[in-house]
Amino acid sequence: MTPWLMALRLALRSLSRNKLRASLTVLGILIGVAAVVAMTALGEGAKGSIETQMNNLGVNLLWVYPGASNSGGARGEMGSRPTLTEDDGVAIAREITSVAAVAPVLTVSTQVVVGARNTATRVTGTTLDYLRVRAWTMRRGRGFEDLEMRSAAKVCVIGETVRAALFDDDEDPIGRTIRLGKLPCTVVGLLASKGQGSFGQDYDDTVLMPISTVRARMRGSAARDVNNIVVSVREPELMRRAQNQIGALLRQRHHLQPSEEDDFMVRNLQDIMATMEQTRSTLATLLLAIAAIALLVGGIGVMNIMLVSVTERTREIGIRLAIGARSGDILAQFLVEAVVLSVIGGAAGLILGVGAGKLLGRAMEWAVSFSPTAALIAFSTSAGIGVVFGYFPARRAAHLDPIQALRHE
Amino acid sequence: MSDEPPVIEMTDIEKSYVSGEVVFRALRGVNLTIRSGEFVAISGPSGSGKSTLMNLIGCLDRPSAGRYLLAGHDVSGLDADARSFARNQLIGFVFQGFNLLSRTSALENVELPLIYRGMSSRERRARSVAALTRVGLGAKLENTPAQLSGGQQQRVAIARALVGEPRVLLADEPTGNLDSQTAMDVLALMQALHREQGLTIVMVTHEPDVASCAERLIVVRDGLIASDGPNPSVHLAQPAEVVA
Repeated sequence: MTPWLMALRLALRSLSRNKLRASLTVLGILIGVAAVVAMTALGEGAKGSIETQMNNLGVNLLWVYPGASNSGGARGEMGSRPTLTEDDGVAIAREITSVAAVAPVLTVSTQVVVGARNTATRVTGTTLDYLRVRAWTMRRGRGFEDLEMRSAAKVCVIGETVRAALFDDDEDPIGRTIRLGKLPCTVVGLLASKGQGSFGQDYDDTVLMPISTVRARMRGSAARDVNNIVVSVREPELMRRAQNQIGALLRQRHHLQPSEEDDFMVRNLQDIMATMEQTRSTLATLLLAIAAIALLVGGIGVMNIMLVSVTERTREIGIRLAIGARSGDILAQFLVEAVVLSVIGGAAGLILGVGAGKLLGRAMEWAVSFSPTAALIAFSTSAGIGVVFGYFPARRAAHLDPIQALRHE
Repeated sequence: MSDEPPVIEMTDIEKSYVSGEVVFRALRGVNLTIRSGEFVAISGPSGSGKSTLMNLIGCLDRPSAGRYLLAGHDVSGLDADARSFARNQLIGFVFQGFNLLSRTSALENVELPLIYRGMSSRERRARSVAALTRVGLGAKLENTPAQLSGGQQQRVAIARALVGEPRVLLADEPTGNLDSQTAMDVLALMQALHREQGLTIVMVTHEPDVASCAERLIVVRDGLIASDGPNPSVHLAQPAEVVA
């Protein structure tokens, strides 16, 4: 048996004699490691879902919203003033070279009915470019045609969630007529499924129609104002520039004086993501701080209990020294014991952390991802704590005077 | 035999303890030679310095002055680890309070000195079983100290002292915690080991009838050796149990 294996066996035996004490001692390390593991899992998961969402939405999108009304000092919500029109979109597409495609959006929430089945959804009135901007694809059927756009034709493209709500799986929705509010409308296409966004929004719960149809037949007004305009930029590097150019163009088109505020807003997906990322990293920092404190407390607990153990076993140390143990042997014995104690705490913390991570992930509908890194972190932190906080008591044991130690009662 | 260096050769050994400004001279120039195969009893009143002498002989402590040759090696100036090594290789200890590891089997207790020699577990076990058999505990290998009587515990301690084949067995009041009959058993065992294996034994005791079992009597008084000579009438301890 090698000396280290011997020390390990000795440590396990010594710890098993004081199981309750050992388990109370490792509590701090357990909580600390659990927090680290849960944090890593949640952090990785959140990062992963942010990335997925970026890819789903497209990294190079800009949203232009009408500005908020500002009457009598009470500022209304974003888009409360109808200042943005379809023509603004046309101008952006025409004048700004860094822009790849532009689609105006006019939405109406309505009830969709087919026979006895119905669902509530949001109807997006837009142009042919919308699919291109959003990088959405058709699963079946086709998009709108130019003629349908101009004539405000009663056609629509539906998302997977709407299809599932209205039709059986073996039914072909293409060519069927559905009723949007009072408007009967022919389904010409089915969108490929996009899945769920990380905030729970369902991109498949949608119906697309020509913007002219929504305006003329559902809004019943000739005003060309829109809810927002989606812009895709050629290169992600051109985002800032496009944003500034759009701002300048719209100020000019809306005849704003230099002293006046913008009556529109240009939002960039990366800004939104950055906010999310910041929230995530704040949370991660908080968890890390909790973990650090717990680990520190845990380490002090280990040190405390090892000091008690050294005192209790002074006589044993004296015996060992008398029959030939060197200071290094005693140091190793107590150091191994501290490390074993900590690593047991770390292992329990790993299990607890994985459990807590899963539970939290489920409760918050947050993606969690566990990596071998987490296990490695758990192991190395706890072993490190054992070494750092076990060293002082072990050194004290190793430097005991054998004569004094043998006399100890 | 005469070419072999003495097991213990102390020249002008002094030991002083300083506490504050007071210097206490526990040993004030001890000269002592013990040859291989002797059975020596060291006695003296408490405070005479016999415990200090015992600690120095056992390399548990370092003399303040003088020279100490243990089996021909100068151990007077060794550091703690080197003294540990010397104890492990050359000395076997038997204490008054047995000093066995609790909740640890007799066999594992006896193996302990060999563990610190880095001996393979097979050899360690074989030698430990032999040592325990020699002291009459071949059937109690797995018993822990709590499951053994005082006399049996002291015999485990003797087995632990013997297992490393030391040059000298150092016994510090080996019968102090035992009743008189058990004490005789332990002394009979020591005498037998001395007689049959030529084991060198140095025993510290304050009891005259225990000291009378040794062949040479040394009396320490006031930090000096007061008398040193052969025991005119060695008392043969009579065991009640049959040992060996």
